[in-house]
Amino acid sequence: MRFALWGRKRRDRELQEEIETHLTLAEREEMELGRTRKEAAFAARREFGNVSIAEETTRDVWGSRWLGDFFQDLRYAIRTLRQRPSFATVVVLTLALGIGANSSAFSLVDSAFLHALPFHEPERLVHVWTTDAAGDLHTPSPAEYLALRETSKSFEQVSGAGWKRFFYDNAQSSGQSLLGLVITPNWLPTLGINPLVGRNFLDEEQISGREAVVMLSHTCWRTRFHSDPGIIGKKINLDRRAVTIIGVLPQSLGPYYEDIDLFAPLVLDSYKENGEARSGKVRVQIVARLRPGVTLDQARSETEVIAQQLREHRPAADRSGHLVIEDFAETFRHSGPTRQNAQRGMRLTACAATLVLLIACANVASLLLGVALRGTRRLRCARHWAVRAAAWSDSC
Amino acid sequence: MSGQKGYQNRTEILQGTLDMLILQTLQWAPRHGYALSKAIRTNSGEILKVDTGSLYPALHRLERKGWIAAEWKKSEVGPRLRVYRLTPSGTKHLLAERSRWEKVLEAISGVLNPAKNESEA
Repeated sequence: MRFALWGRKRRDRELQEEIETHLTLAEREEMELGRTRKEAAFAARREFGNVSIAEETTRDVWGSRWLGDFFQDLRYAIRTLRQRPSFATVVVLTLALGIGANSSAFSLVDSAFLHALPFHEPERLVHVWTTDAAGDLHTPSPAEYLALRETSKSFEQVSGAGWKRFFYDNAQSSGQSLLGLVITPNWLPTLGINPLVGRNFLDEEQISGREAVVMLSHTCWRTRFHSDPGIIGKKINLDRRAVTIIGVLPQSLGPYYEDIDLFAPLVLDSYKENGEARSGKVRVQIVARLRPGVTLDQARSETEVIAQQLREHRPAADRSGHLVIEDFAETFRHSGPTRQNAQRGMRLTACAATLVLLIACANVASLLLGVALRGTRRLRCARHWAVRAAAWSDSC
Repeated sequence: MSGQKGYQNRTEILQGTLDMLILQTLQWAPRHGYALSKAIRTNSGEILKVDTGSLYPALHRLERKGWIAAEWKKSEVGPRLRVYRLTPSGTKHLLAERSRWEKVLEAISGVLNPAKNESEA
């Protein structure tokens, strides 16, 4: 490619020189006819016409040259490959294996490490986990959520979310189960996301009896409601009661909360009422936003105090009920206790895939070498043309 | 000289014949672009005007097709010149073009002078 460009530049220079010479010669002749230098130059230019257009059209003649050369090379390559189908198959398969392994490993790494989060100042976002007796991470209980929300000073926002299945009924279909995320009204502000259309939940909508409102994910709005622009205010039948659609969330949320169709209010007072009976089963995913200037360590020590108060009646050696604060992005890379293994595994996979590609290239190179050593046919052909070219240039 | 008048009387070269005229003119001797355009003008009795805007594209196109070859030559008067010469395949092409052109001329004159043809028939 560089050679082609270089050749092109040289050709351009030479063309300019050629036309310049033409003008000089014409000018000289006009001067011999008795014109002044200025008149001669003018006459020569007029006779020639537009220089840059002439240059441009000449360049066009050469323009597709390297494309032509490229196609010639391509034809040659295809011919050669067709002459040796088994060789071609082996090379294609080897390279396909190497490239395929690499691209899949890269897409893993890409989704895990390289994608920026579409949230406002994601470095201030944290996830809060609780621990079980074995010290593994789990989603906190509603009590832990409420304690953190009410007493902590390190966080600007502490929001909660939980998974829930909804039964969706409409006139056309016989009823479907939709995946929903029940969220506190501050969940969207914590992430720094605004609904695409409509509004977020209000505080009073997390009280049971007033929570008959729902927001749709972008995908759900597009696929189930055909991107209906007048969707806000419509009522749909969820869990056998009429629920009003109040908003649609932006597409950027998609990759992080995949497969979620609906967002509904997280009703907290039902936890309060049923308190202990349900707290063992219901869990609240906590997403919190650190106050500006508060470090992760400061938040951790404060949270540990809060957790301590909640655990007071339990023995000190008990490893459950510790609140663990984790960088939000980390969680999205891999949630759960095996995340570090997964990360290490992913790096290894990427390295292995690169190695596979290198091995594939080495194999193809040695195959080509073998073919070249045996490929005397082509050499003979090249020699034939070289001899002919030499003979021809001698004769001229 | 017939200068100004010659300019006005000159005719644009017929579409598709410039290549042939260039090849024909180069048959006698290698020439650079300016000399070539002058030669065509002179040989046509100052009638055919070679539009330089199409001369250089034509030269480079013919070079690409391998019918002519170019070479930079030092001239005694100063700037170096890009001199074109006919290649063997160019000669072959010129012959083919000439016979085609003669057929076209014959056909056109046949159309222009139908009486002659009819009387022969």
